[in-house]
Amino acid sequence: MLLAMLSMAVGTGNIWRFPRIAATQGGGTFLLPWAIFLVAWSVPLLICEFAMGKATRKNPIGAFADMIGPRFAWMGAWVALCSTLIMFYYGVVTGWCVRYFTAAVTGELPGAAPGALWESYSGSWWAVLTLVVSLAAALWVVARGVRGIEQSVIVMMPVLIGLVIVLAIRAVTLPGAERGLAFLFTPDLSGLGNSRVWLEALTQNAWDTGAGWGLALTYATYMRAREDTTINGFILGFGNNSVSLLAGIMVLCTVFSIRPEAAGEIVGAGNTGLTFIWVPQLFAAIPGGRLFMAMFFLALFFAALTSLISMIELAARILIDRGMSRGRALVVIAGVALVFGLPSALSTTVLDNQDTVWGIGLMLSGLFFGFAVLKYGVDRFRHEHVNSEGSDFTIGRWWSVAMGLVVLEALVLLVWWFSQSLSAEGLAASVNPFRSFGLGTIVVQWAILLALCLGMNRWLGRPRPAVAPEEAA
Amino acid sequence: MTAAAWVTMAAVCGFVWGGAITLVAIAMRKEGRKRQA
Repeated sequence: MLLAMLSMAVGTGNIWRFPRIAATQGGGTFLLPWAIFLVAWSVPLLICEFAMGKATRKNPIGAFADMIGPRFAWMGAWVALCSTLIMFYYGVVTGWCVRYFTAAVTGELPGAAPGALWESYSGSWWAVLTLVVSLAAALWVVARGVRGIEQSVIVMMPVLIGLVIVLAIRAVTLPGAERGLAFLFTPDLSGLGNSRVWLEALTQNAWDTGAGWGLALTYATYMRAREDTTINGFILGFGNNSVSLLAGIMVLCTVFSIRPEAAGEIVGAGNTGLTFIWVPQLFAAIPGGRLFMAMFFLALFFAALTSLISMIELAARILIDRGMSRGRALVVIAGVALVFGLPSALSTTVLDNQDTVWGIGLMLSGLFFGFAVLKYGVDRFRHEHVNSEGSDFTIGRWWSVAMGLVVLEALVLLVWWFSQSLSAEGLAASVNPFRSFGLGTIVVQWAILLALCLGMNRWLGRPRPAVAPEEAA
Repeated sequence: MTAAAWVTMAAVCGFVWGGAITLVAIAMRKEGRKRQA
């Protein structure tokens, strides 16, 4: 089960997002808040999610209703829907990995010009086709229940970790790789005064570890009673960030070794430019590059697929807890995911917009988990659900303090970021909901989701019996 | 690489990788003891 949880956490966030965010947010400057938020955000939240899932044996909506009352079921709905909205475009990204892996194997990559394949493929109906393929693969695994998920990750996770280690070793042994290490690890303490660095460090941690997504909570509903909550939370957080660090070293050492003169342009090439335009060019320039390119995209595909599986499992678990059979739930999810994934498949601007809106939305999810624990009584929660039967480790008061800090961090960062965005963009631009990446689009989409969750609260909060894990599986 | 970069690399990698390896070792030892019992 721990391997399944690690597979949920290790995703494209580690390989696709971390190197780019670390590079654009100042390298060593970014790594300091990133390491701080691992223990000040991810680990406490993961322990909280494990404990809530294990105690209630319900999806996030039911878990919030059970823990702090049906009036707060909407908070669980926000958590679940935020992850589900991420799932819609995550399927598209998984599809890209399928396409690029096949292109690397067949020798279609790197192509004549940088980005030639990307230009013809992204936003086309081919991207829709690969979305269908990735959804079908993930749905097939989830259809086989929790045992099917375990069986698939037992194969995929060791292969993924092995591939990342091999690629990182290859990268650091390239001539000039130390320039990449210097870029990644040189700190600039003056950069720590920038709220964007802290916000990105927090959202990257949320993205990286899956803390606050409700995914760990969902998998924890299948945990055995004797399984420890604390050690699992720590291993998941540290294990996941270990993979991120390896991926950062792998990508940046390759960039600075092969194209040091264009490194600034490459790492600043946006959400997709670094991975899908430049990585094929870089691998093509090293001996045995086609093999390493195929390994890279296979690792990325496995990372994406295992995370997509956990997101689909979360959505399925909600419908199963509402009385639907697993098969029927997956048919519904397939249809909805295809319809809502279509705009992101056909437009990378839509995908980037969704990535921004719901990536930052995860901060609210974390805030809601923190609120739930504070409302329940943080010390009571710790005694009853964290240090419960089967615990190998008794967790101390530091966790209670950390959960209070999670709430404080989310509030302070949200207010800080809002005020900085307002002063940087100006009021008129900020309130414009049609700008792809402004404050306006984020606030409007959050407001719609919040209104939906609050509007359905009475229905969501109706007590329902927990579905036995074997029935769910 | 500057001294500051070396120190940051040692601190961050030591913390993250060292932490992960130590935690897995502790968990495996605990699991082994549980199975023996």
